[in-house]
Amino acid sequence: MMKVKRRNKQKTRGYFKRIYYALKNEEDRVYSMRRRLMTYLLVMTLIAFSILVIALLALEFISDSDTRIEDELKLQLRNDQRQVGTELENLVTRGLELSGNLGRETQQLLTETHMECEDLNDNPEMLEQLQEKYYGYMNTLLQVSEASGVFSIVNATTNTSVSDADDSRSCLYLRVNNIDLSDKVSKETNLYRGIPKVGRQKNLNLNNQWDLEFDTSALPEYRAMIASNTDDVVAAYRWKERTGLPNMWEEAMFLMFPFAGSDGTVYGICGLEISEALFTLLHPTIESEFGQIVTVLAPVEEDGLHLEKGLVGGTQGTYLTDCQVLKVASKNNGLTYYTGKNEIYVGIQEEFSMATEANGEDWMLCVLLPRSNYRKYVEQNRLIRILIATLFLAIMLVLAFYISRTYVQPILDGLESIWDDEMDENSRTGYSEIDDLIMLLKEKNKDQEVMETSNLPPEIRELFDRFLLNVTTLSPSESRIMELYMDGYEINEIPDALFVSLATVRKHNRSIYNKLEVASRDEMMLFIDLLRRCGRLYELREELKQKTGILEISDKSAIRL
Amino acid sequence: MFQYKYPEWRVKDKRWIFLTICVIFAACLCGCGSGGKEQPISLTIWHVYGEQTNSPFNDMIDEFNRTVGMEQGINIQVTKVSDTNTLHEAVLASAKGEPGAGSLPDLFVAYPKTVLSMEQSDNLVDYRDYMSGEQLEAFIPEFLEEGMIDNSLKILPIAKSTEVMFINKTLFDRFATTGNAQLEDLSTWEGLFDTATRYKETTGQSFLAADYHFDYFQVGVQSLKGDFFDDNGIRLDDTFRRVWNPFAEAAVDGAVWLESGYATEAIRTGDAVVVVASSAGVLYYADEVTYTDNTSEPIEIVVRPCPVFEGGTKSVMQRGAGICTVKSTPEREQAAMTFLNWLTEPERNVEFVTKCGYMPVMKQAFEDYLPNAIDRLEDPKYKSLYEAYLETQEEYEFYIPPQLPFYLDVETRFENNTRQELKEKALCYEEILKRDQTDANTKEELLQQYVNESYNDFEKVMQ
Repeated sequence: MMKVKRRNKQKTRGYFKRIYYALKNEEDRVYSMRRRLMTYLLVMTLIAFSILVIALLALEFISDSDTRIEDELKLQLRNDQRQVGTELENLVTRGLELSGNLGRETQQLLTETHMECEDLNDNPEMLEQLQEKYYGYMNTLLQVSEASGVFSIVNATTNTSVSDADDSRSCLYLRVNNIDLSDKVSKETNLYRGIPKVGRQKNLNLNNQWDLEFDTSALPEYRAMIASNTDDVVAAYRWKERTGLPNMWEEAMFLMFPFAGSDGTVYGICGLEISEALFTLLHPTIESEFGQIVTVLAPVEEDGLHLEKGLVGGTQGTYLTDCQVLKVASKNNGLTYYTGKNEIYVGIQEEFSMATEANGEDWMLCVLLPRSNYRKYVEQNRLIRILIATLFLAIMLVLAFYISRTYVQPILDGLESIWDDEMDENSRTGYSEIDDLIMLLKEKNKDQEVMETSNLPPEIRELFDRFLLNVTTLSPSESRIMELYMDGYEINEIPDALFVSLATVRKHNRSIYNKLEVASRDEMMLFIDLLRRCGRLYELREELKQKTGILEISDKSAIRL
Repeated sequence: MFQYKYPEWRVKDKRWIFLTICVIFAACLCGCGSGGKEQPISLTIWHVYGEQTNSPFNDMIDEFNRTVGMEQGINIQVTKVSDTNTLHEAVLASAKGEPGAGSLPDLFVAYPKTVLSMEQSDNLVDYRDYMSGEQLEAFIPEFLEEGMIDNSLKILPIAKSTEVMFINKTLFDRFATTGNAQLEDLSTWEGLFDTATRYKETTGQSFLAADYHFDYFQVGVQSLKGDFFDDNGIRLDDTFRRVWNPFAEAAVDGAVWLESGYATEAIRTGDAVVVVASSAGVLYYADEVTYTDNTSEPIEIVVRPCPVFEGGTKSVMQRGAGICTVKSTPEREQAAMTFLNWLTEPERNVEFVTKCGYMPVMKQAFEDYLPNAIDRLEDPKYKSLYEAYLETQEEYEFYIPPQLPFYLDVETRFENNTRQELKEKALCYEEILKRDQTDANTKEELLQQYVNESYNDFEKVMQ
């Protein structure tokens, strides 16, 4: 095990050593034309690609997913703020109008009959008259506003002798049958609270949960509002957080106003109701490219956003329910993350002014997107970008390969003709520099031919042949060393070039000398020089190339001389 | 020979290249499939189970969404809870694409008359495409048959009801001690109308309310071996007259509550003692009456089978809508089927129907689960209802309305005209009685006069 570890360590060191020396001796390295050209083309491609990406980023054609989602949510939030703000403001305006009308009618009736508000107790006929007067205003308001119900509660009761008389108050409460935006023109209403005779006169059906009067114990705010002797109804109105109506399956938020006489005596409270069903219809989910966006209006407390106290728009395509608290998990740039029962949501919230109860809750208008949708979008976006980039680079790689091959091939053909001594007047590569070189070499060749054709003494020729024959006996490693000597390397430069020790080089030198039958490096270099002069150096190179070609395709063990 | 040798592609090089390509693709693909939960398939539903009150059906839907729905990515959303008439109009308006009407929901509750009135019911799923023979055989055949429209099973039964008689026993007992009346008198229409007339005479209040006069006449005529319908509408013959007369007499006399609302209103305000209505109305009957002086008294409500005509067969209307599914994508239709299969599992079917006053629709539900469920009922009103149910099932024939193209139109006109004509005559009769001092004979003659006039006027408007 230790030996293996040591061997692996040496291997790793060897790799790093190679990289280091490769970088260090970069200038001295020899690369093929094609490799160089391909490298240049690839670098150019990467630079062009980087410039393209920077330009697209600068022009915002591609941008951070978070930013896009944030922009979309902000847009939706702005739209919702406008819409919800307008809806609620309209309700407040109409509620104030109703309050004024009911206060005036009540005061008029009391004045005509010389009665006070307390005198309405145990006076069912008067209460019936009041409800008949109220009905017109209330029904009209319900028909023209975005409300699911309208109510008026007078501070008097039909029968003070019944057991729950303290909490029971005469009330006219109209509710819309079956909330449906298509019923805007003429909404059918039912009598949730009120005198049946009044309802039947107006062709109203009784609500399945009808009762004659309103139990004010279900509305704690009632007493506080009644007790206030207010001159300023505008300041006195209140929103009540979402509450269930007794024995009903749906819940609603209530907007309450006191209605009073000109002397400030409060006769009762009136108001409007927005049911969760209505809010859902008015604010369906928004289908965006990032997923379904939900609108929420809810109070925020320490532990989070209390959806069960507010109103939630349509939730189609999500698992969001309106009976939970969304805890704020974290914030990231402009986006807030909320933890729900079954899902995490990402969204944006803005404070929304609601005149609520005295505890001064903060209300938020939020737009929420399920995080699973958001993540899916981000991942898809990322995948598309990676695929495009990969495709682009792959295409550029193929083009670089093709261009380099096409560019280099004529040059290689020209060089080949030089090597094969097949140059003639028609040898053209199409590259002027190469063609000029070919012509020059052709001229020089003529000189060389002179040398070649000179009569070498036979014993000299035999010497050279023998030398060349001996070269074939060199091993691949020995051939590589000899090539380096031919390229002008000194002995102390070879260890660095081949990543071996000097001792190894010396050992190979001895073997080379023996095989070539020379006494020293100088003698070997002399032979090489003579062969060059005789124009036979190419034969030597050819032999050595064949040996070192074997070296290149052999495995690493061959490199380890 | 010049040969520049470019290094050959070694096997190892090829392996590295292949590995690199694989890594790149893996990096690309690692983002896929990690997006978390898919969006659920949201299906909207309109139903009638629990309008304006706590809805057991909404609770069941919540349970589905929490369990099977969560597992399979299905979310059912209730977008309308209403009464059958209003839902019927809304469905037709949406189906016809009337201006301002929204689109049809994915699922809605409907009667056959509603589907028959839709111009194109081809956009409704045929449940036989999604249910095996074995699944269909689990239903009670008559209930399934009612949902067949144009040879397609377009209405899947989930709960069936019938007409029963709800009695405010508290008020009745109070009257019975002085008015010499017995509950058994109410088992026939003749006895019921007689009791009603005596109650009116004694208290000045109406006694009887009925939700569906059309059903009273239809079933009444059939039980007396007559034919209610002819080729063009209603057959106004002697049998019809026999059914009309006692009803009209009680109505003109003021013993029948003729307001347009549901009969539960009359019970709630003390304006009626007996109501003949759908068994499903049990959800809406409060256990107290509130009077105009704001006093309330708790009442006991008992339920009896629907009255019958003397000498006639014991027949009662089979009621109860079913659920239609609107065609969309295969995934959404399958999601709807998942919900409906879950809903009609026998034990769950019984759990649902016994909370709403319905009968289950699965054979196994009747045999294995309903008896135990009835034993577990705590509300005496519900107990009484299911005893009446079982008695009705044993002794009565269920009458299924025919699927006629003009059914809906005739029903609507009949209801409106009956109430209107009789209400007018009742008001006239009452006015005259208040104005003039009449003896009993005169009173009787006057009553018959108005009864005849009401029939003649009714005949004219129905032709």
